[in-house]
Amino acid sequence: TYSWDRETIQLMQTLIPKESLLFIADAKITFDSFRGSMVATVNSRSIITVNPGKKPQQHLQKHNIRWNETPEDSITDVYTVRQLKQKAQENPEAFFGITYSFISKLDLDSSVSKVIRTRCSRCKFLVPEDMSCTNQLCPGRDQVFSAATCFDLLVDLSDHTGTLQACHLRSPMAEKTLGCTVKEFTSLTDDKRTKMKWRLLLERCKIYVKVVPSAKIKTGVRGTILACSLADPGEVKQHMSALLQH
Amino acid sequence: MFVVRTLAASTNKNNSYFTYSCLSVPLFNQKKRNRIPLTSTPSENEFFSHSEYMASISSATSHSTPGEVFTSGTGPSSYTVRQQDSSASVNSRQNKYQTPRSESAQSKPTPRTGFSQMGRQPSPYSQQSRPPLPPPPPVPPPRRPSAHAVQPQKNSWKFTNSFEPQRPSFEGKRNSNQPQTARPTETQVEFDMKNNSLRILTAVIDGMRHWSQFRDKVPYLFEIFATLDSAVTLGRYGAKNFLIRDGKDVVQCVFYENQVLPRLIRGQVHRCVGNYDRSRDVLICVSVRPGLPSELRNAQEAVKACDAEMRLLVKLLSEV
Repeated sequence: TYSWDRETIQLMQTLIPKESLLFIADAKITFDSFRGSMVATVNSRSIITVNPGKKPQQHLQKHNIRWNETPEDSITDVYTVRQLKQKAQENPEAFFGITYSFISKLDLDSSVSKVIRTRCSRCKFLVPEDMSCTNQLCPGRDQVFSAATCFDLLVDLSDHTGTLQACHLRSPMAEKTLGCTVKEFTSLTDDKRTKMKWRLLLERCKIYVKVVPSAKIKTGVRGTILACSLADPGEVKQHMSALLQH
Repeated sequence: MFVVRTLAASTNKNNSYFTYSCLSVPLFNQKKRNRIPLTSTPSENEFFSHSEYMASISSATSHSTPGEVFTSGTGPSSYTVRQQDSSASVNSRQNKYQTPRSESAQSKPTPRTGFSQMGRQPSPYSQQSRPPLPPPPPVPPPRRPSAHAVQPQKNSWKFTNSFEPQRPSFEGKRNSNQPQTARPTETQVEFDMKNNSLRILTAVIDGMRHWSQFRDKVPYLFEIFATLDSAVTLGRYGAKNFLIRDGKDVVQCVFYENQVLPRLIRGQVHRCVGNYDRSRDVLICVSVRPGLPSELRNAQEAVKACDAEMRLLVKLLSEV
């Protein structure tokens, strides 16, 4: 979409790549011979809504365009830890799954830098605190630096078949898992952090995970947690029964 | 949504390695004439008796938690079964397992009671991420070639879509892009020996004592559901000592964490997670809390699955 309108340009600059959803009504669609393709142009009659509500999202779903879908909607395959590792070894592509595993490492009450990191708001690169963005390609380079703090933890998942080490648990999944914002977390006492840790540590959880085979890592696998909550014992039982059958 | 599932070739079920006794290490090589390997004790049935386990748990708790109803014996537990809201297609909401009948029961998550008064001191757990373990000696790679290749499934499994679009099958490994199955096969256990990482096993006390003899080869923690069978006494260095019992078996527990233990009620079933010290016959607990009724009803399946895994692992270790 192209626009020459200053207000629109300013609006676009406030948007976050890969996060903001736009609903654009009445954009003018024409064939652009220079670019050799159809282009949409925003003019004075166009209306742009940022992050529209439910109806447009349903529209996207209807056309099978995934947007902000929760993991619970679409991930259904259940794996043991070993099965996750084996699949990662046999496949070069990332895949998604559920595992009913224990969290065997969760350093919430050690140093805060293991829990919270600072990222540039524009391009999401990690930055050292209070410095400007070091990313050459950051779209916000010429503007005032703005950073956001976010959770960035490494977690181990274990079951009776092994451990998947160093899985990422980041914002916004971490907020849901831990039940607090970054700000709330930083203001917690050590006691409270320890209590929060033990709510999950060595408890069996239902974890939605994205697994990416990676040659860069010693284990060959990188896991990212998409959702994590204490497992319902009934579901765990079903999972165990399924493992026992053939 | 489609994902192709296959079954691994299952190992010979009639192999008497799978029948259980306290010490099932065969004394003679099975390749010789005897069909039945001699073991040091006569083989018995399963490692634990399901009904015994359930009975011991339910009798222990029935008087101390009025209002809870336990089913003893083999009946399925009475947890509430609810379908998630079915506005989207029902299939996509069901967890997919490797079973012919995909069970779609979703139960409402049991609310967990919070822990009371956990202390501040970080446990050894958070510092090292493992309890103190002796480093396992290097395990020699298995000499058997992995001839038990996983075969494509011939039964008519339902095809269900996974998150990714269906991939073309790879040559020579037709099932490699599907989740592995069901019972652990020997190739899977071999995989583990090369990726020897911590396991957490749900077990009964007797099982824990048995499996712990292989602790130097494979690191694991145990999760035990058992009844508190003594008062909690204070020992040296702030240690809390107590006994837990399931059925006929009792084990001494010690809890060193400087956190305050939640209130433990004698006669009530608790969940302990820790490292079993075989030489002292003590379970060194890192996590202790009352067990939820729903956990107790369902722990038995986890115990069975862990036992199956361990049997294969032991078999592999004994043949190396």
